[in-house]
Parts: sequence; C-alpha cells; structure tokens
Amino acid sequence: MKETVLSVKNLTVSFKTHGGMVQAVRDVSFDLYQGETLAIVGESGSGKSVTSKSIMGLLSPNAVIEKGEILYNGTNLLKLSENDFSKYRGADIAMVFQDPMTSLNPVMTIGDQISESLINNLKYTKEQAKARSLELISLVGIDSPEKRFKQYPHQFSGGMRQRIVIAIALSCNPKILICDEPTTALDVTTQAQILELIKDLQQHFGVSVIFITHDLGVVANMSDRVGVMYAGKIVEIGTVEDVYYDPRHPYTWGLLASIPAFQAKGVELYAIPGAPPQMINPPKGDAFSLRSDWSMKVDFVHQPPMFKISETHSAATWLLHPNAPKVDRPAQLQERINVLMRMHEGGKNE
Amino acid sequence: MTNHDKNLNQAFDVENLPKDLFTFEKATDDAEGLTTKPISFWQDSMRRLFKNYVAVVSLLIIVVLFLTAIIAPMLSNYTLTGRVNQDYYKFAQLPPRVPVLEHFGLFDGTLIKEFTQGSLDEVGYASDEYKIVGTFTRNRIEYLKVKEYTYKYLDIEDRYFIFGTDILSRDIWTRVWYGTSISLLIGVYAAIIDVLIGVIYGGIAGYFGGTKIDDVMMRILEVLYGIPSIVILFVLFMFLTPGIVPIAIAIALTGWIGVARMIRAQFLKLRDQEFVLAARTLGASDTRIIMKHLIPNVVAQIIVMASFSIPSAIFYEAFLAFIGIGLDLSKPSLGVLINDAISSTQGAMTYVYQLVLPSLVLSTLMLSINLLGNGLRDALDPRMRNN
Amino acid sequence: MTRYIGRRVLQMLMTLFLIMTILFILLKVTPGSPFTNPRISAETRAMLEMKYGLDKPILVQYVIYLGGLLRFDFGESIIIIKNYPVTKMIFEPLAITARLGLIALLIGSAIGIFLGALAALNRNKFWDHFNTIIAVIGVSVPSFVIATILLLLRKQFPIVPIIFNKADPAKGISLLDEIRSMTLPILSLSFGVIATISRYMRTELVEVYNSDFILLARAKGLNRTQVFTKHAFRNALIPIITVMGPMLVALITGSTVVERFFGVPGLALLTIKSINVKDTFVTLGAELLYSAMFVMTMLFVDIAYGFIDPRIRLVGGGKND
Repeated sequence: MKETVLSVKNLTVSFKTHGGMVQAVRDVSFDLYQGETLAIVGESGSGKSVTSKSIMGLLSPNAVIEKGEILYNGTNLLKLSENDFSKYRGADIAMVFQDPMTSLNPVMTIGDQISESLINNLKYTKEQAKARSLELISLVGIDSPEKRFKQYPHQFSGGMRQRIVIAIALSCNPKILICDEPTTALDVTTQAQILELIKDLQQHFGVSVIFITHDLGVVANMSDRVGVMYAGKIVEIGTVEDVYYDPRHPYTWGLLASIPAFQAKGVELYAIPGAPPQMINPPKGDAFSLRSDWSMKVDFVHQPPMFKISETHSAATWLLHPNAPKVDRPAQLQERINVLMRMHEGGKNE
Repeated sequence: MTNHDKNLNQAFDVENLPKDLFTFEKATDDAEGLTTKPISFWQDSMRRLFKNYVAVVSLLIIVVLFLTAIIAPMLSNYTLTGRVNQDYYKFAQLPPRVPVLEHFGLFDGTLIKEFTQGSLDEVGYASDEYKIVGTFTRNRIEYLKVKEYTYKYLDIEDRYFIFGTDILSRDIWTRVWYGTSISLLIGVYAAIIDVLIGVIYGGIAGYFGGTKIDDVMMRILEVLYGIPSIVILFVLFMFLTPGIVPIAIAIALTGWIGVARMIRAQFLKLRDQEFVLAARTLGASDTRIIMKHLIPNVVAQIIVMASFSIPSAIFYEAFLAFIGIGLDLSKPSLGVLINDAISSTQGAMTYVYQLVLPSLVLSTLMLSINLLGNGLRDALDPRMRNN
Repeated sequence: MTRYIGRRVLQMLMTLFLIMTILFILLKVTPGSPFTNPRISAETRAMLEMKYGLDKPILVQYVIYLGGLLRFDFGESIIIIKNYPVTKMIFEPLAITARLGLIALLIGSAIGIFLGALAALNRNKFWDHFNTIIAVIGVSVPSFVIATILLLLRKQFPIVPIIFNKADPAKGISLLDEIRSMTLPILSLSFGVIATISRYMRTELVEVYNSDFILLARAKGLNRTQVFTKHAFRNALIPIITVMGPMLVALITGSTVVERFFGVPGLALLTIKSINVKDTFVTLGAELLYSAMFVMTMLFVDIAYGFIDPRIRLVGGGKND
C-alpha cells in the first residue's frame, strides 16, 4: 500500500500582485500513496488550490514557483515545458474543478468534450472514443448516454455536469485524480451523490485521489489521510484517525470544534477568532499564533518545524516541542471527539 | 531574496531553544499591524491611474492642449477671420515658420513646388530664394522639384506665421486653436447631455426592470436604436440652426442610447443584490435607493462612458463638418478647418501643411482623451481590482 | 425557434413602421419645400405643389405614401431626376455602397480577428502594444484624415485609380477596373473595422482564456494549439459576430466620407444631395432603406447568433440584458 505515486517537496509558490508578492504556498511537502485518498483541508486562501494547480501545471501566469519539486515517476514536473507537461495532464494526472457550471465548454457537445481527451491522449479513433465515452457517461450514472452524447452543457444540471467533468477526468485511466472542492458549488443532496460517485470510481479505477476541500465533515468518510493547511503551510498531516481522534495543532482543534455536523448536544459551536493573515507580509513566526489561545513567545519569533508524533502523524506547532508546557485539548473538543468516535464505531458495526 | 526565504532560512537550533520562549503570550494588536492599511476604492483607482504612465502623459497633453486653446488665440496678433495683411494676395498660403526651429529644417518657411524649366524661369527667383531638390518625369515632360524660400522670396523675412496662412491669408495658428476650443466645447457639452439623458432614462428603466414601465421604455429605445444616427442627424439639421449647442444636442441625441442601455443593465444587476434588498426592507424610498445605493455603484462606469463620449462627439462633429451639415463658419471647429483645407488645397502636396496641422491637433486630442479613457477604465473597473 | 423568428420579424416590421411614420412627419414639418427658390414665383410654387400633392394635409399625404409603400413604390423624385421613381433611384447606389461595405467588413474582420488573437496570445508584448496602437488610432483619427493620407500616399505610388469606376462594358470599363478602383475606398473603410474588431477579439479571447473550461481543456492534456483552435477561438468569435452586424450598417451609413472622397456614386451622396434640394421622397426612401437595413441586420445577427451559440438555440433567444 505504501508505494508513493507523487511526492511534493518543499513547494513554495508566490503570486506577483500590485501590492507585492503574495506567498500562497510556503514550503509544502507531502507524499501521495498508490490507491489512497489524501484530503487537503483549509479555509480559502490557505494555499490548497494553488498546491493542486501546481501539480497540474495550471498556475496562472503571475505565479512564481520559488522552489521545490513535484516528483512523479521520477520526473520533476515543475521542470517540464508547457508542451511536455500537457502530455501528463489527462493521461497521468487529471483534475475535477470546483464549479461545474463554468468548467465545460458551452459551445461543444458533451460527447465531443469527453472524446477529445481519449483521442488526444490514448490516440483512439473517433468511433472508439465514442464507444468509450458512452460507457463513461453510463459509468458516472447518467441515463440514455446516446442522447446525452449529442447534448450541450446547458442542457445538464449542475450535478450532471460535475459527473461529466468526472467522466472526462477519468477517461484516460489517470494514476492521480485531483478533486478541487468538487462539491462546493452543488446543493447538499447532489454533494452526497457526487462524493459517493468519486468514492466508487476510485475503487473501480484504482486511482490515487487528492481531495481538496474546506469541509472537514466531507473529508471524514472520504479519505485515508488528511493534511490541514493554514496560511500556505501544512500544519498537520496524518491518517484520518490521527487527525480526527488525536489532533495536535490548535488550528486543527479549532476546525474540528467548528463542524456543526459533529455537534454534541448542549455544547456551544466554536468559531476560530480573527481572520487568516495577509500573505503579502505573513507573520514572522507561527502564522496561527495570532488567532491561537495557546500561543507562546516562541510562536512570534520562529516558524515551528514539523514534529513527528507517529509514523503516520506529524504537526507543526511549538506545543510539541519538549520544552513546551503540556497542554490538553479543550474539554469541549474532547467531548466532540468522543461523540465522533462513537459515531464512527456505530457506523462500523452496522 | 524575498522576505519569505529569510524566514525559512533563519537558522536556529530547534532542540535547544531557550525555555523562556515557551511561556504563553497573547497576540498583541500590533502583530496584526503587519498587514497593509485598507485603501478606499477611489484611492486605489487613482493610485492605479497614476501608475499608468500612458494615462498620465495623455492627461498632461490634454491639459496643454486645453490651455493652449484658451491662451493662444488671446495672445495672437491676428483674428479668426481677419486677413493677416492688407496685401492679402501676397500673404496667402504662407508656409509655417517658427523662430529657432527654422534653423533645424522644421517649420522653416519653405514650400516644395513643381516647375518645368520654362515656368521656373518665368517666376524669376533670385539665386538664394530657391533650391532644386529633385527632378521627375510625368507625361514625358521633365519637371523640377523646387524648394522655395517663400518668406525670403516675398521679402517678409521679419514675419513669422507659426502654422502658416491659408488661401484667404488668415493665420492658421489662431484658427486651429480657436477651432480646438470649439471642438472641445462641443465634445464636453455632448458628453454631459448624453450621459445625463442616458443615466436618467436607463436608470428608470433599470430600476423598474421587468415591469410595464421598463417594457415600454425599452420598446421606445429599440425603435430609436433602429434609426441610424446619421438619419437622426440629417433630420435634426433641417430644424436646427448651426451652432455649438445645437450640434452638441444633435450628437448627444444619437449617443445617449448606449449610455442608457449600459446603465439599465447595471441597475438590473445591482437591483437584486442583497444590499439593495436590505435597504428596501428597511423602508428606503425608490429615490433614496437610486441615489444612495445604485448611482454610487455605477459612477465609475459613468465616468468611463463620459470620457469616451467626448472624443466620439468631437469625431462626429468633424465628420458632420466634412459632409457639410451643421456647419457654422463663424465658429469653425477643427473639423470645419480640416474640411476647408481639403477643399482649398485640392489635395496639392505643396500646401498640405494646411491640412496636416489641424488634423494633427485633432488626432492628438482624440488620441489623448481616448488613452486617458482607457486608463480610467482600467483603473476604475472593479473586475480588474484584484488582479 | 421558428416562433421566435416569427415574433422578431413582426417586431421588426413594427419598428420600421414607427420609424417610417416619425421620419415622414419630421420631413413634412420641416420648413421649406422643393420649390422654395427665389426664381420660382409664389403662384408657380403653389401650382407645382398642387401638382405633386404637397398642398394636401399631412395625414392625406401620409396615407398616400403608405399605400405606395405597400406596392413597393417609394414615390417619385421631384428635383434630382424629375418624375423618376425613387425605387429605381435608391437601389443601385445602395448596391454599390453595400458592396464596398461588405468587402471592407470581410477584409477588416479577417485582419482584425488575426491581430486581436495575436495580441491576446502575446499579452503585454509587441503584438499587444501594436494592437492597442491600431485600436486607438482607429478611434482617434477621423476617417477623412485616413482617406487623405491614403490619397497622398497614392500620389507617391500611383498603382490604383483614385476615382471609382463603375464596371460598364459599353464604356470599356471592365470588372477588374472597378475592383482596382475600389481599393482605396475599401482600405479607408476597413481601417476602422480592423481597429474595432481586433480590440474586441483581444478582450474576448483574454476573457475566454480566464474561464474554467479552458482550464479543463488544459487539464485534459491538450497543448496550447489545441486549446486555442478547439476551445478558445470559437468561444471568442461568437460575440464578435454580434458587433459585425451593426458594423456593416455603420460602414454603409458611414461611407459618406469615402463616397465623397473617391467619387463613389453611393447612397450617402444621394441622401445628402436630396436633403440639400429638399427632394423629400428621395430622402425618405434612402433613410427608410438605411433603417430597414439596420433593423434587418440586427435581426439577422440575432438569428445567426442563435444558430452558432447552442445556449440560445434551444432556449429560444431570451434577452440577455
């Protein structure tokens, strides 16, 4: 299981703007293993989408990759020319975007948009591509594929469009699928269906998934591992159990405490105070210290390194330093975690 | 090296950090002071406008042209229609001549004329009054290209006419700057009128979008839009006496439709946004919502539209002058002057300065206003704001 | 779709009818008549006006004119060519004007689309700046100045004739001569088209390139060329078609300058002439023709738009503004 398919090392990306360089991603490293789902969680502006776009080579022109590498099959993708990169896209790494309403070409039939990928990457003939497209349309759960093949995006609902985008993404059997908030723009019932579909198709295709979201609730039953991003850095990463049942970073605590879905009765819902820092001039030390109830002097001086908690679990907070005072998770949060664990146990027994 | 790298490369020993660093401390407010100060929309826009050097240069040119248009005719020794000298035959079609510049071969008071050998002898230039600069053959006759030192030839070497004189021996410098002020006046009047009508009409239609009022107003607009503007102008000038205001009105009457459509579309979009709904829920009147919530949100677009309205009105006026309607010869605009020059020079290369100089001023004026408009649009367009 | 077209045609006819009425009234209430001339005595004038029915109440004249229109009769010219049917007078100049306009539009659009695409694909580089300069000159330099420059250039390089030659085998003027003589008018007309279209194309293409579906196309593994030809170009072209219609009309109505400059016997010259001599029916006929052309072009563009853009094709062309 532990075969690494993609390895991101010290990725650092900034954007040129009128106000100065915005440091969107700061020294992010993680591995993606074969067949797993890695969720990357963070609020908007935390750098999660920029990370995923870097992997796809789809950063906007004002982005500057300051350092780092993204290794896929021994190739550093960041060193590739645009044309060489395009050979990996679709064929090896595919992506599902946030807004299905705008991510399909409005003047091209659905069929052509799916076939295009097959013809381009797998050198299918038009007929082969059509046959495969029809299969894919049914596979993502859309009825009467023959009819749908000839239709245009505006004849599809949002949920159906996202299914089509997923079909396009999976059409060439990619090794890696990046889902960038694929359900954010959809209504709740459709969200659940699309999540279910992605889960099923992951089994079917054996693809490794990077699932970008701001919603920890969605992550829980989708993913194997979770990385939490804040202010352009990964602050905590581990298996779902690690992060949900034994969170170590105060930001992760805040996130978990603010999920309404895990609300224990009679416990007030938590909101993290303040707002994320401006990334043109990020704070000198730990970016979260400004909002944290557990900030120490050191937090304002040095950025914390990743502290290893177990083989699978690490977090970047000075609280894990041997010199730091021992801190327990807030009692209310522990209460929620307990509820969560019980829910999960219950789910397993069903 | 960026700030960021400095942070990352800061060397410190993780194992042996001093213990006293690990005491709890609340974040102070000035820790947030690292973030930049918020700036208002207008400040931001102006900053962007002044960063755009093309727009700044255009603005400067406009100011210079504007001031010259006011001052030059006042300081001039000549009048708009008066001949520069009693001896008007001699003083007609004099080439431009400017002190200092004349030594560099520019505005040096010379004309390039074409002669046959015979006709050249007939004129009887003194040897320092002309120079043969070339020859060419047309219809098997040999011609000479002769540079004539006109001022010397006419014995008026003490006189300087900056832009030369026209066929009726009037001072072109005075006329061009007078014409510039007329053109500017027409442009500004027209822009004010069409923006005013457009905003009121479009605003009402947009605010009542989807109702009968809007429907009727849009139908009317559609009919008016269906009449080509040239037809409207033709018809209008059967009624109007030529003059600055009538021309401005006529041009505005064809220009306001675009403004009205734009404002209506913007209002329709804004009307359903939360802040307007909120104001309505709080019991704000229609007038108040329009004045306090809708108009301020389209001011930027109105400014941009007006800035493009001015040159297009000037353009239109010049066009009208060219085809000969709306002409007021007592108050000639640049368009009238250019039209005059075209007909009096008959396209002869020798006197082309009479055509080129007003055209140059007109084109520079239009160019600067358009470029400034572009700059304003880029600076004010909220969509560009976050890029 | 058929119902939509039907409704639009009906709307168009209504608009035309209203325009016709307004123009008729305006032209009739303008002071002066074709016979306002110091050499014509009051009695003669009254007689002449009676002869042409100009003494009747406006309403009666209007009904007569309307009746004529239904039989495709635009009335008669009174001054320019005595008693000559306006219908015969206005269509030939229109054909010439329209031909010039259409060719200028096609050539100008092709060049404009090319330049605009070049600019969008090379943002903030040479071609982008070049495009900006062309666009700004296009709106800043009046057409008669451009025509003058062309004329002066032509004097240096006498390759093509200045004056328009209508092809007429009887006079030994071949079609080739006509085409050669159309060069200068078309060049001066197409300059504005190039300026406008290239600007539009650039803006549209930049906008399209910022949209998510281009990101998806790239994510599919298409290279730059494929993204451009298969996705970006067509989407950017659709809005261009909407400006091309009104632009054609603008070319036709705005060709006055070019017609005067290069002696093209077009509709604009006829209109001005008729206004100056108060040959009302010629003016009315020409202006109605302009309006009809305008309204019809707009309709045509809307319908064409519906066929090109699948979103509108089935929805039935809802208004977007």
